[in-house]
Amino acid sequence: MTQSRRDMLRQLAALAGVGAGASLFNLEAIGQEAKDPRFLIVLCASGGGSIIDGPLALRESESANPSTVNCFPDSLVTGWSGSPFRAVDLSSDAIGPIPAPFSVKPSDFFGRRREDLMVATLTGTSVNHQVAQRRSITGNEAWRGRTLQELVAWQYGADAPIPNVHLVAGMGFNDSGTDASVPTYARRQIVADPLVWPLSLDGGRGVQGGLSPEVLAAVRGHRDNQFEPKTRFDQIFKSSPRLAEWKNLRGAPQAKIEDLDLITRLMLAPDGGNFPLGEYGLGSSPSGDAVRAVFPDYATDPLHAQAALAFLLLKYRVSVSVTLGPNFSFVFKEGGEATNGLPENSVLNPPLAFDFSHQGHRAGQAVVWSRLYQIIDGLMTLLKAEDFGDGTSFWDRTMIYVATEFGREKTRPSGAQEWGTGHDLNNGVMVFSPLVPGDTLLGGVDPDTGLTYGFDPVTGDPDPGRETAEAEIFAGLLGALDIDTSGSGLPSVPAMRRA
Amino acid sequence: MRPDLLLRGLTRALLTVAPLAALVFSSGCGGDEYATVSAKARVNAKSGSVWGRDLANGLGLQEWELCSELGAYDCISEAHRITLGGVEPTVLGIDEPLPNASVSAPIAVDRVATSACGLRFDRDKAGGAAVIFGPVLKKDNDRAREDVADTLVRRLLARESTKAELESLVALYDTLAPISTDLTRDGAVGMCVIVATSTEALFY
Repeated sequence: MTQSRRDMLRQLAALAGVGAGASLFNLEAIGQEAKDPRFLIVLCASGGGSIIDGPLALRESESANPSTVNCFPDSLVTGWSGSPFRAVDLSSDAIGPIPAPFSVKPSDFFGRRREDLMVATLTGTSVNHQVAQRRSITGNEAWRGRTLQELVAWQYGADAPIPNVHLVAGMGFNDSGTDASVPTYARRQIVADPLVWPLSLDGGRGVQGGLSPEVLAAVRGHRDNQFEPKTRFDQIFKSSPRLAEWKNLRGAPQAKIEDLDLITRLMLAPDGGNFPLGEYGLGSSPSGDAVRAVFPDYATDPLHAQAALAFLLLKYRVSVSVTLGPNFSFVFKEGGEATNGLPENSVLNPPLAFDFSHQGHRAGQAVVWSRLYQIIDGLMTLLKAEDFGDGTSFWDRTMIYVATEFGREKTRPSGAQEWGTGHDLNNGVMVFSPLVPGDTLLGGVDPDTGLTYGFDPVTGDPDPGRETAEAEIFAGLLGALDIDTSGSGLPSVPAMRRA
Repeated sequence: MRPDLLLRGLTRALLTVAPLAALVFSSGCGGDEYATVSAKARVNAKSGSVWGRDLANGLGLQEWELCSELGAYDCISEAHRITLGGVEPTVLGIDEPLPNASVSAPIAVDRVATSACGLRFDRDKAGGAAVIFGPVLKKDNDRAREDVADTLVRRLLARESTKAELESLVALYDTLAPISTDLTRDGAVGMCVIVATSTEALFY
């Protein structure tokens, strides 16, 4: 942490007094220094991404109950020698009851990316969406209710302007932690619309009939230091934590955001069309072409826009933790020729994302997994190509945690190729990162039941008599990210850390 | 003690204290020296839509005229809706305002106020019945500036101004003089932005 930030917080704490305001600026809590940063991307598998419909797919020939367990015809399952992972290339003329043909080929993705993939099995504690989502990021409140994102932002984001950004909202994945001692700067910041949000990152540029930067700065200073202190409102309510928070944001955080020219650097959209940036003295991000090439549907697919902004937030060192993912809204890609129902691959996100499995399990899982693989692939491409400045890439210090919420029921009506499933506690998570053991499965799947089983947290050896707890996944992720967990009481899970 | 005697005693005590309390709390215009401090300091932020409505009413503008990003995205209802404490449950799934101020909220507020105040000034200057800035447009001197400052406080904060506030607002011109190329506009719009984005305008 910089001295200036400490000084600022100390002054604000004094301003806020010893009442409720003190909890906002708890100096005792801000003890950890920023280290060589690690970056966390939480990719939300919203609605329940089933791990046995992803990299742990079962072949029918492996199971004693092939007709009733969720497994696939052997011919559809691709595997790789020496790898624990599989991919199911699937096509169908409908996604459950939606007449939308689709064709997905995850074998391409796993063929390229499995070297940086670790899957750890997990048995959760809730099949309520909101609760399970929250437990995916708190390890079921394993460490005073702090979230993974907060802990990464706390440790590595002290100098970042907006360390912990959430690009998807309204889910348990976006919850704030419950530990009031987490410093304000590490709390989540919700960004509702990645395309227009950068316009809120400069007070004057692009404002029609606005003021010059020098005049605006003087006006702000006059307001903060001359006018406001003379109003009775400010005098009477000067101990309000809300006012203290607001005044804090007007200070160093605002200056940092505007000084970095984030209104330009984070602007995904190109100049023209719905974004006539040039007419307003603005411009597109210098990295705009690169991110738009990787996420071309940024203007119509919210997940592409989220992923594009996620990369820019990391590249420009605005954030150290970014949370993104599909929400439960239907996303449809216009264009394309329809021969029977909707055009092929036109449904990008079925209603309820993975939870569409209630209506069409196999197709819903295939389509949404494929959607997430595309996002992971794009982010890895961009991050691997981005030099961190010391000869390493951004990817070398990044973790993409695919938080799966919960699993789905493991059985199906005899021989069914499409059916509906309910929620199931038993599942697993995916982690893409050079910080975890690659091409590695921790735990395993019982092919006769479709249930996953755990592993030894120290050696990583599969243990069919064991289930992995949420707190262990939480602790293992923190360990891989080199977060200081001393005094936390969290279990030690060195198996999740690359040697 | 008999209830009637207790009641009489309390009444006498209240009658003794009441004039003193009235003196302390009846601050009115110029009464800022009697300001007290709220021990609980319970303050809430106005949502963007409420603040925007207040701003539009104060400046004599329609809400949709306040600010438009890139000429296409209404600042209050679209571009900065969530940032300014709004909700959008249908698509975004945000059915409650953010519990804490967004880091970019003060910046967004400045953008909206600058745009709206600038528009009000330009309209007043364009002719017709000036709503706020008539005095400085007619003759830009300290008296006119104070009149405009007084109007801004009355219209945007819905109360009487104090002498100290007016002096503070007019002093903005001295601050801007060395850096402004159009002091009449910058000073007037600047005073408007100050009042419109003050904590009193944004919180209740």
